[in-house]
Formats: sequence, structure tokens, C-alpha cells
Amino acid sequence: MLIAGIAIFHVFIAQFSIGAAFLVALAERRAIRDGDADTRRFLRQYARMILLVPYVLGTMTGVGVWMAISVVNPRATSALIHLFVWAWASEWVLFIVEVASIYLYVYTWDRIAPRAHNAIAWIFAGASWLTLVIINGILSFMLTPGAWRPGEPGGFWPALLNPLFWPTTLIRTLIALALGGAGVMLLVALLKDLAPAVREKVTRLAYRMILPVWLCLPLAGWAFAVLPGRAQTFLQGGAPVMVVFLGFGMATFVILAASALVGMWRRDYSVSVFRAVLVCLLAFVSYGSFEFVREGARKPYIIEDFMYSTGVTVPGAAGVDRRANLTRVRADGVLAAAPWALPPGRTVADLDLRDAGPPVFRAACHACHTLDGYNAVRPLVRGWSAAHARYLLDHMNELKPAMPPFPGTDAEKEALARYLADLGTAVRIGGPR
Amino acid sequence: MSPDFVPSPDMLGLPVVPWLGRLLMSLTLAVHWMLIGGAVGGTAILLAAALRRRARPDLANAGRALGPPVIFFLSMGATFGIAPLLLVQVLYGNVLYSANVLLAFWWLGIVPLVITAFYLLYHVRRRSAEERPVGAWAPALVLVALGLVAAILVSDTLLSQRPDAWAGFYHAHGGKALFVDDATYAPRLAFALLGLLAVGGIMTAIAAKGGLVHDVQARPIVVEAGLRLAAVTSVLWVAAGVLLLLLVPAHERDALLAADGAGPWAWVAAAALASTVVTALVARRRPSGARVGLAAAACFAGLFALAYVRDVVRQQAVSPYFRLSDVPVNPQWGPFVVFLAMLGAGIVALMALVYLARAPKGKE
Repeated sequence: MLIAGIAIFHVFIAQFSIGAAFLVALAERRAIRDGDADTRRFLRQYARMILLVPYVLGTMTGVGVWMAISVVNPRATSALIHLFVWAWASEWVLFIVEVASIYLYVYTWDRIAPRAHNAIAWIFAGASWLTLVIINGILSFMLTPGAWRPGEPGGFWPALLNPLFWPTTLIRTLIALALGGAGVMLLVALLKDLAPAVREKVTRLAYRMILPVWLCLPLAGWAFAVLPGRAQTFLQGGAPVMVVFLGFGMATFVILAASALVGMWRRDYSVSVFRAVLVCLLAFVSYGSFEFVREGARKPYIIEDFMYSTGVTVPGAAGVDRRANLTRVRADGVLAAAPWALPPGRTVADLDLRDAGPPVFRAACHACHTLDGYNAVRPLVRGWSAAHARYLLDHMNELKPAMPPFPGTDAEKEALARYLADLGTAVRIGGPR
Repeated sequence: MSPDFVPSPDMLGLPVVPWLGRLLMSLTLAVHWMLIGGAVGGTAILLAAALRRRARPDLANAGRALGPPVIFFLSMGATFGIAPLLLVQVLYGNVLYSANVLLAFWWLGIVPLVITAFYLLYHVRRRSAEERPVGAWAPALVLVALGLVAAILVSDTLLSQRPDAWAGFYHAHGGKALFVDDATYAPRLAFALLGLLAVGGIMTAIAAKGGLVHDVQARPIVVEAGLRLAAVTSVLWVAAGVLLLLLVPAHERDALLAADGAGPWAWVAAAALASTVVTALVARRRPSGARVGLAAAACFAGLFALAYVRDVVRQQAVSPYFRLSDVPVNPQWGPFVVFLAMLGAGIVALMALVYLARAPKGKE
């Protein structure tokens, strides 16, 4: 929940910033060509807004995502860092160029030659887009690792340029442009004293940036075709919530593109605040749906066919993971791999079945579930008997394909089953929480 | 403490040979400290300007021109912090992540604290641009926010080197407290904060000398204020360093004074920091560009050596649990070369930006 909250905010704002950078660069080039001082004045205001809101918040929440994932799933973070360190380092270089260019762009308005000023905008836009390309490679890898095999040399390139890389790079680019267009449309609508000619020019450009978003439909088809079979099953009805979000996303792509097309055809350049807010909301829903489906389709893995969301690796990775591989933790116990979950001063050998339940829950379930908060377990196990819980734990990944297999010994499974039954009973009889 | 309690190094091995990773980490960490120092020192001068605006109207006027470079330093400093954060995860992720989880509440608090500092500095800049008086509360709060970030990072680094304290700390606090149960915590924090102020004084002077302060009349006043800050705090910085050396465990102190391991680097750091004090004092009396540049160079050398010493000390602290030399290395030379190419392209882009930013207004 924490990661999702920070990540959605960050990626939304970062992608908006990329689209806005291209919009400003394009609009300024035209304004210089036409000698249009009014539009340049408006763009100056917009550039300052980009620096103050999406840029500062986007940069810092980007670091925040990193900090959050290292707390919530350190093993996956570590694996990604070790695989993609030079990709991230390259992205860091681009960040430096971005920081320098946005500050120079904002603080050199009317101080330097206009064409030189516009060149700074293009450098900013180019560097921003390249960061999207790199990060998208890492995110798409988590769902389609392609030819990458853990521990094999030369795995970086097949991992980065994985099967989902190109379609999602294009989808993200189109969404970024649409977000940039929607954002400027809202600003134009809010500025009541804007000259009509500026309003027309900027809104027309915004339409042109939103229109290509319809291309996300065929690109989504391409992305679907390269998804793992399990994820395809989810999207074909196996996971109803994801189907709904996919539908939302597809519909918003169409509505956004259609609204831009109608606006251009009717030459409607005086967009109301209500309509501009609606367009922004649609752009947000399209982007949010895309992210939700991407995150959901990955389950039960955090890195497809390598690491489960619990941080435990698949049996096939036993050769590289000697700490928390499924085969190993099933033999040695999940508590042996997670001694921090034990009560103070206790060892695994000290615990009986009843005492072992809570630590097993902490070690095996806590990465995704809480007792009463986010993704709470207590309401889910209401009325369960120990035998029922045990049956579900035995067949967890078969009955619920988004759940990873239980990572632990038989005794740990039994302890967890009893603990879950106790939790369910406490709810049923209104006992202490 | 059982070594099992400490997570194993990452299963994929090191993607970089350790010496190169450590070198890059120390180098980028030193640059990060210089830039963040610029933000902290610049904010301290903004605070002084706000507090003494009646007694020193010239300083208050100069402070108005200081907002943009301070914001730039904070932006660049935060961005440069990404590289050492990336490399420390590569080299010591297993111990670092444990400390992050144990300090989760504070660790995640770094982001809102820095965002708060950004917006307060923008507030100061806006008031200055509008020629309205700047209240002392805003720069004071920026210093509190950045000071808290330093307190969190010192606590996190210290805890990552103390696996023996993890179990007790986890069961006692569960992520809601800072790790301050170490005799060296307070002197470490004092050393860090005084260092940031000393570095910041020099960086502010550099910013004014280098033209980052647009108001030409404000430049000599900013240079004077920066060097005065550097001269005073660098003396205190060295004193805090000596105190820290006295308080660290005897075996660590012996290692720092030894002829091998961290020892030579510690001496280099000490010599460079002493040079920083001397050059800052000399530059304060006659603040030429060359002298200010020399003080900055000495300061950077000291910070680089300190970053390296810090890394050697960390290795010694975690050596009972794991050794970097035992971790398998699977170097990714191809991607590293691409990174170098990207770095080269980035430097070219930065040079192009500087060239473009100097294009005269009338020239097309």
C-alpha cells in the first residue's frame, strides 16, 4: 500500500513532467518562429509551475519509492539493484542533466537568446524521456524477464530489453504526452485572462498531444501477446478486478483520443474548467489502470519466475539462492531464514505449535498482509477452522493463483493454520483483536 | 549474535569489482556532501541575514540573491546522493536494508523532510524576489529539516554497522525510534553537521565567485559571509573529529591511527581538513578566487578521504558477519562501458547547457 501510494503519485507526476517538457519545448519553438511574445509569457509561467510542482515532488518521491521498496521488499530491491546498477547509474547521469536544464530553463527566460533557451528545453525533454526508457526497462523486466537467467553472465541486456520493453516504452511515452496535454489544458482553463490567441494555440497543441493516445490500444495488444500465460489468464477473466481495470484503461484511451479529435474538428479552443478537469481525470485513470494491471499481472511473483512477493525464490533458483529458496525454506523452515521474526530471546527449537504461529505469520505473510490494516487477514479468515486453514495453505497457489506457495515446513504450516483459525474465531465470538 | 541473523549478500553477486565500487561510492559521496553543504551553509547565511537585517542591511540585501543558488545546491545535492545510495546498496545492501527496516518510520521520513526544505526555500526565494522581508523562521525550519535528515542518516549508518544491536532494538522500538544507543552517535552527528556548515561556507563563497549569485553587488558580501562561516565552523569541525576519535572503541581508534588499512586515509583526511581550516582562514583575510578555490579543493580532498575512511571502518565493523572480499563478483563490464558513455554524453550535455545559458540575448 505504501509503495503503491508513493509509486502511483511519483510515476503520475513524473510522466506528466515528461509530457509537459515536450509541450513546452514544442510550443516555445513555434512561438519563437511566429514572434509570439504572449505565448512565450504563458510558457514561462507554465515552466515555473513544472519546476515547482511536478519536478520537485517527482524527484523526491522517486527517491521515496526506492526507500519504500527497500523497507517493504529488501530482497527484490537488492536483486534489481545488483542486476541493473549501471542502468540506474546511467539514469542518474540523466537526472543531473535534467536538474541543470530545468533550472537553467526557468532562470534564463528573457536573459539569453530565444533559440538557445529553446535548445535547453529540448535537452530537458530528451533527458526526461530517456529516464522513462531506462526505468521502464527495469519495471517491465519484473513481469517478463525474457531470456534472463539468474547467475548467468551477460544477463543485463536480455533483462533490460525484455519482451515487454518496447510496447510499454511506447505506451508510457504516449501516456506521458497525453498527461502533458491534459495538464496544460487545465492551466489554460484556469487562467481566465489569457489572450484568446494563446488559448487557441496551446489548446490545439494539447489536443495534438492527447490524440495519439489511441495507439495504446494496439500497443496493449502487443504487450498482452508477450505476457506470461498466467498473466494472460488473469486478464482474460481469471482476475475480475484486473479485467475491470483493463477495461477502464482501454475505454479511457478511446474517450481521451475521441475528445481531442472532436475538439480539433469543432475548433473548440475555449475549454471549461470542468472539461479540463475531466480530461485530467481520464488521463489519470488511463495511466492508473495501466499501472494497476501491470502490478496485478505480476502476482504471485515480484520478479516473474524468479522471486515470489514474499521474497522467497522459486525452486529453479536454488543454485544461486542459498538463503531463502523455496526448496530450502520448506526443508529448513521459514523461521530459520527469518530469525528476526522470533520473539525476544527465543529460538526455533523453543517454540511449540501455538507459539510459532505469530512468527511464521510475520515471516511468511507480513510482506503483503497485516492483521487488521491493509490487506487484512483477520476478516479473510473469519470462521475458519484449523483444518480448513490447513487445506487452504496446502493448496494456496492452486486455489488462488495470485498467492505464492507456502514457504515453510509442515510444522510451520500447521502452526500458521492454528494461528489463522484462532484469529478467525476471535472475530466470530467478538473476542479481543 | 548469530551470523545467521545478518542477511547474506545478494545472491546475484557483485556487478562491479569492489575497489571500483568503493572508489565511485566515495567520490560521489564527497560531491554529495559538498553540494548538500552548500545548501546547509547557504541556508545558515540566509538565517543570519534574516536575524540581523536591521544591524546588517548589506547582508540582508545579499541574502536576497542567495535563494536560487541554495535551491540549486539542494537539488543537485539530492541528485548526487542517488549515486552513493545506489552503490552502498550494491556493496552493503544486506546490512543497510536491515537498518532501513529497523528505522522504517524515520527512514521514510527523509523524503517529506527534504520536500519541506525545498518549499521553504522557494518561499524564501519568492519573498526575496518580491523584495519583502524574509522571516527567520523559514531558513531556521530548513536547517531543522536538513539537520533531522542528517540525524536519520547518521543513525542508519551506525545501525547498519551494529548487527549486535539489531535484535534488542527491533523488539524495543519496532521501527519507531532513532538508533541513538551508541556513545559515538552524538559526536558523529556533531561532526557531520559542523562539516556541512564548514563545507557550506566555502561552497557559498564559490557560488558567489563563480557567478551563481546574479546580483554583482551582493557577491563580495556573500563571499565574506561564507568564508567567515567556514573559518569558524571548520575549526569546530576538526575539534569534533578529535572528540569522535577519542570516543570510538579502542580497536577502531587503533585502526584509524595505524599505518595500514584505514590509517593512511585517515591521515590524508586529517591533513586535508587541516588544510581546509588554514586555507579558509587565509581566504577570509584576502578572498581571491584562487584562494577560495584552493580551500574548496582541500575540502573536497578531505571529504573524499573521509568517505573512504568511513567505508574502511564499515568493512571492519561488519567483518564478523560478512566480508566484501568473500562475495562473488560477476562484473558487468559491457553495461559499465555504456554507463561511461552516458556519463561522457551527460558531461557534453552539461557543457552545452552552460554554453547555451551564456548565449547573449541579442544573438540568434
